[in-house]
Amino acid sequence: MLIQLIISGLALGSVYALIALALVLIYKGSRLLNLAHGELVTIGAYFSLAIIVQIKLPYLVALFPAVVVAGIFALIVERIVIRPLAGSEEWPILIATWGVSITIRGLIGLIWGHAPRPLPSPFTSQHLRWGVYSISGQELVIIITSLLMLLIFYLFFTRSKSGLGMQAVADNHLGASLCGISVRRINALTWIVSGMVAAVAGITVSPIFFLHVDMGFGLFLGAFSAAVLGGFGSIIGAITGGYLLGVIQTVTGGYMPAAIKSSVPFVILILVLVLRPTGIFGKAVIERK
Amino acid sequence: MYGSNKKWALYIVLIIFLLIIPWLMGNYLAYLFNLSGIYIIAILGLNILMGLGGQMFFGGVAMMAMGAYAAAFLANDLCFPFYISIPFSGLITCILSLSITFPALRVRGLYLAMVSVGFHLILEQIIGGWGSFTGGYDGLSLSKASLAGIEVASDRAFYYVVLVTVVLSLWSAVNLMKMRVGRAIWALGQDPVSTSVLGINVTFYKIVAFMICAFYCGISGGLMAHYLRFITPDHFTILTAIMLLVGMMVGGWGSLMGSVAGGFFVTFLPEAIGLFKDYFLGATTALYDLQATISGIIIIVVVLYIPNGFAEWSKDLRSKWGYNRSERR
Repeated sequence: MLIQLIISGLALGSVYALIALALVLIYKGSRLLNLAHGELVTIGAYFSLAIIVQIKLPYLVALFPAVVVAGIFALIVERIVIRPLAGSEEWPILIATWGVSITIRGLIGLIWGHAPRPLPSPFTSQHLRWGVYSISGQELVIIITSLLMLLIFYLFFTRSKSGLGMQAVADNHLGASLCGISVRRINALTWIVSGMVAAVAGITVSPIFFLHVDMGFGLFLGAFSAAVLGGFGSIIGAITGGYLLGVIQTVTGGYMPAAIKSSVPFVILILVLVLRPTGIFGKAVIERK
Repeated sequence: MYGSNKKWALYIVLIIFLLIIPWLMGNYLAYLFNLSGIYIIAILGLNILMGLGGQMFFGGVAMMAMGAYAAAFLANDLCFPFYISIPFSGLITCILSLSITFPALRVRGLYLAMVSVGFHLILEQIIGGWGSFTGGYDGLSLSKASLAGIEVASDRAFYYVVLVTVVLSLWSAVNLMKMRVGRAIWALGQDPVSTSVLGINVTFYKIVAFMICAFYCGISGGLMAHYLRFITPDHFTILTAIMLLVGMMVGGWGSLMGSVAGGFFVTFLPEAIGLFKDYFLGATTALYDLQATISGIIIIVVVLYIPNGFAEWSKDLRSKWGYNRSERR
């Protein structure tokens, strides 16, 4: 029972880890929290649904155009909302991104309605059994995709020029721009990349959880809690926190009533912020002025 | 001398106008006015905590829900009349809000915002799940409010209850903000570090700001429970929280009188959207989604182009009635 729950928890945790990674990327790049990030997850999932149903592409092929659409969407948000507010205080940006989140949710509701829909995937019906334990094909896809994404990210950050530029901008805006790095371009790139990561998370998770307008927001809240658990602002922390939270939430859900399962991320968020605001890996001061 | 006479004449005309206004319009408009009044009080509370105190707190609607269910409990189980249960619902909300106040003291900025969103969602789960006390998603009904044997349940009669509460709330808020407490909260919103250097107890005044916000929001929720006489978790969703935020931002950050404009805006916006929808889009479009989309766009536009809301356009009003964050960008 416990080990089975941990296996399912790892799948949920992979999703949290990816979204939390995207959140932390944006936070490190431009010191802001994107409340609309869950909606990028939702957009990716709904676009892949549209592509699969309308154009009848196979699941794994539909992933790519949907991810590109989410990246473009993230760029549009960055251009219209974030860039004009660059250099302002923390909270106007926070509220503006919440406005973006509400707008996108309303638009998705207008276009696709509120009924939960399944995302057809060939992997959901297959199960891999090993003794008494079993793992569904989709869960395996989620775990493998997230590990693959993390590997790509590692290579991107350490080997590519843009990745190094992102690290430089995250460390010090002024210093990076003095070295000839275009901070604006890097920030736009950060948004595109994190929008794409969010979309990948959304497309891989929605065959298990149904597609719904609010699914992204729920995942976003979980991912934020995960990032805080790992130490907000630390990439390793976001990934560890994601896996940890996924396991904790699934195990709690297995032994307790279902209503409690959805509250687990907030309880953990409040507990971490009260007891150890820096999280597991965080060393930065949480009260940033 | 002449000027002051003119001012008094203006006040008297305003008072008479406010007293007779429900008889000049239909029941539905009176209903909307009452709803505006209820939102004005909640936005006022949020304005003190967010606009003046500078705390990013998105849990105002959760406090309203606490007030509403407290009022329902007092009226149904303890048989309190409405004029006692409404102030008491404010006090109970203050006490219950301590559960979020203490975690909230440890964090600020975006962390506080996320903690308060979490608080709202946890409370929604509790209200939905604790059916024996809150009626769950089926809702809870209240009996008709009555004052000295006379029923005050109709839209027009309840208008006077709302009017008195709104006037008392605005008057107390404006005066409170001119007192030591208000100045301390304002200073807190400007810069917590300088405030503590000046010898003001930051933690204490943060708690006070949360309590003031909880009191106003609780009263607003209690009023709502007694007016609608039926409350469900659907009255206190995250969209309501966003609508309160819209009202506060449109009215103006830290502008107490801006709350009035914000309350009316929040109430009449869905109506206007409904009319627009019937004319242009047909009845099949979901009102909820359209409302969400348009509120979101309004939030973005206000943040980008009119960061001080209506108060931007009436600087006179702002300087006269309340403090304001001096520089925003």
